[in-house]
Amino acid sequence: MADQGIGSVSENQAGARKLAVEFKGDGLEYFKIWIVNIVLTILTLGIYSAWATVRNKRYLYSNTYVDDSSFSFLAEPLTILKARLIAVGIFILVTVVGGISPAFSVMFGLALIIAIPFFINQSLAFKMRNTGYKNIQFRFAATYGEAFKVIYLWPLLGMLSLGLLYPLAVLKGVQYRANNTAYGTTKFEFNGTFMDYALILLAAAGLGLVAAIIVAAVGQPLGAIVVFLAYLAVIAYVIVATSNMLYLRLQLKEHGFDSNMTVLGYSKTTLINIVLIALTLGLYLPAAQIRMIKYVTSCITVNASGSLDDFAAAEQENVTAFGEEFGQVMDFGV
Amino acid sequence: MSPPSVKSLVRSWTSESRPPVITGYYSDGKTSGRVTARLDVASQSPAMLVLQDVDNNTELNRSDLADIKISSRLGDIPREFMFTDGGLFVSPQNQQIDDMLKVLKGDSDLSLLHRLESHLGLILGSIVVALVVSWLTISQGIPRAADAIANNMPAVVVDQFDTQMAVLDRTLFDASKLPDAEQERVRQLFQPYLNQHSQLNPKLHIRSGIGVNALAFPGGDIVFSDDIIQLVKNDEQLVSVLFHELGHLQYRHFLRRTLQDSMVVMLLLFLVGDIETLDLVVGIPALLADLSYSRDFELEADQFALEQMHRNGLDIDAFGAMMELLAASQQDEQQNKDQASGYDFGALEGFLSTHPKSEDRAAMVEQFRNELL
Repeated sequence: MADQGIGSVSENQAGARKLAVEFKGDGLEYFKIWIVNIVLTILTLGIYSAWATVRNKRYLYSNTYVDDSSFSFLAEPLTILKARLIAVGIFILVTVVGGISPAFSVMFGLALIIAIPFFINQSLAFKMRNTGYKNIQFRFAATYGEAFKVIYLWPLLGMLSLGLLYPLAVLKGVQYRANNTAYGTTKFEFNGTFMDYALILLAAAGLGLVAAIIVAAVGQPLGAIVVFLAYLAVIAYVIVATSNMLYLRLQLKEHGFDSNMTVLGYSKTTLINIVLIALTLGLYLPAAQIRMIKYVTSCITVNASGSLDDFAAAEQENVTAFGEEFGQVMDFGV
Repeated sequence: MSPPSVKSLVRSWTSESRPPVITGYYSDGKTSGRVTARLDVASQSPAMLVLQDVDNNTELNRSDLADIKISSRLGDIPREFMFTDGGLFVSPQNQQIDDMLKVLKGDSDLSLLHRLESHLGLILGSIVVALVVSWLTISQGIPRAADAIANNMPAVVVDQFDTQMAVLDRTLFDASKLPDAEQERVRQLFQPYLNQHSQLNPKLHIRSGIGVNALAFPGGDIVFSDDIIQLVKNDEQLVSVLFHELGHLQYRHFLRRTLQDSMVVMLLLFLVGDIETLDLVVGIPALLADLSYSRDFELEADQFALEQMHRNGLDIDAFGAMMELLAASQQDEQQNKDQASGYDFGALEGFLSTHPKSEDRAAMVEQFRNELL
């Protein structure tokens, strides 16, 4: 391992290293895995989908390297299958019974609103617990109250304040995800502020305003194109800026992170992907996923300060996949 | 990780009896530390592996092969050897590992999935199978399944899909602005035909606020808009619309479309397995499938209307004329929209429309006439 890290590590002073996040996956290789997964899923009437998910995720996780070690996806297909069957069963039950009794649908809807924070906690816990790096698992643990506030209360306050408190809602959301995540027993720390997000959202609003002025100036039909482009630009800007901010303000013990995604780079990747997916009837999808992951990881660096070797493992725990699978079937995003 | 040396590759290919030595990293699972390690065969029967620290030649772990959980080959991602005490050995030397396992286990099924995933002909076959099966399921399987389910659904379930006119009146419709006498005349005109299909429990409502339109809701509510009543040139044309709507009720289109749409979403979800990144990709095919189903149902209702017109001795050309009237009125609306936006979306219309093209419907009238002769 004498040549370790050439191209991926640069040393500037004692113990301080900038480590690149490298993605070594290949679009064609992933496509082959993906298409075989789909056919086996068809032939097994959906049962294989759990194994397919595990194989896809293993490929993506294990091709992501930091400091010459890759991540691992650790979930067992059977765990996912069981959770998926239960979730689909509930979905069918609710659809059928809901058709018979509208009152049941209303009650189920209310119960779901109350249960969603719990499921999102479960889902993140499952995802983190099944992510490994150097044989140490990640963890996620948050209270129901925290999740409830992040999902309902802060966004509601943002709306009621006509957007003034919306940066707070975004900040609380990122804090909820980052500060409750740990690598082994070591918690991540997120130091972003209200101002960080206020500036991002202000810039996005400014971008929208500029677009509106241009539309007024050029008139129809050119204005329609401007509206469309501005819409994409604002979305791309918010995604890029918030994603960069997350890494910039994130810490794991004395180690920091950095991310320098650009609106141009992100938009280019997205547009190429959308066009190729459309032209290939969806067959380009796995390669598109790889292209996006390659771009995002190429922008991230880990600013390691000293050794990455002394993170301790957390105690064993079991989280069922149900929260995650139920969330997927009911289609609430995290 | 350095690539395997030529020497070790040659050894792994030539020696069947002496399995290759594997190098990689070992982490004990207690901390994130790792050491460079060498995995070697301690004994072949029973198969026993030993793991040594490369730097100081101390033994890190030792175990029966059967007790080690070895991850399956997948692309070229590193292989993981999980020991029972939680220690993990990781190595990217996939070929050497496969050779070693072949010698120890004599087991060629070890990486069946990997071989499927590397076989070019199989991949091409898979693409064809995936496309054909998806297409057949969406165009044939799902409509048939929905039809079977809709026809065998207990009445008590079907009744629950009944629309509440009171709710629609509050949200969607405005009261009719036609004179009472005109409304009464339409009711009188429709009554004999409604009676013919009393098993569908049809109830006529006249409303405004929905443009040129006629709608049928599960449970038997049929809504005619003021505008469509004013658009028609004669009574036979209006009756042809009534029959079209009765066709929707007869074939339970509302129920079947609901069933079919949910089945398509379920299918796509199962195929791609994961909706996190795929909202767009699942959303577009689901929408296109829904629109295609909608067009099929419209043609089925057209067919029903023609049959009923013929049975009642009405002029089937009134149906064709009505379709042209509708198409013309929609074109007017569309042109207004196009002018507002400055673009012509006509080319996309075929795929993105809930209703069949008027040429297709006219051809249908022609075909029906030919069948009668």
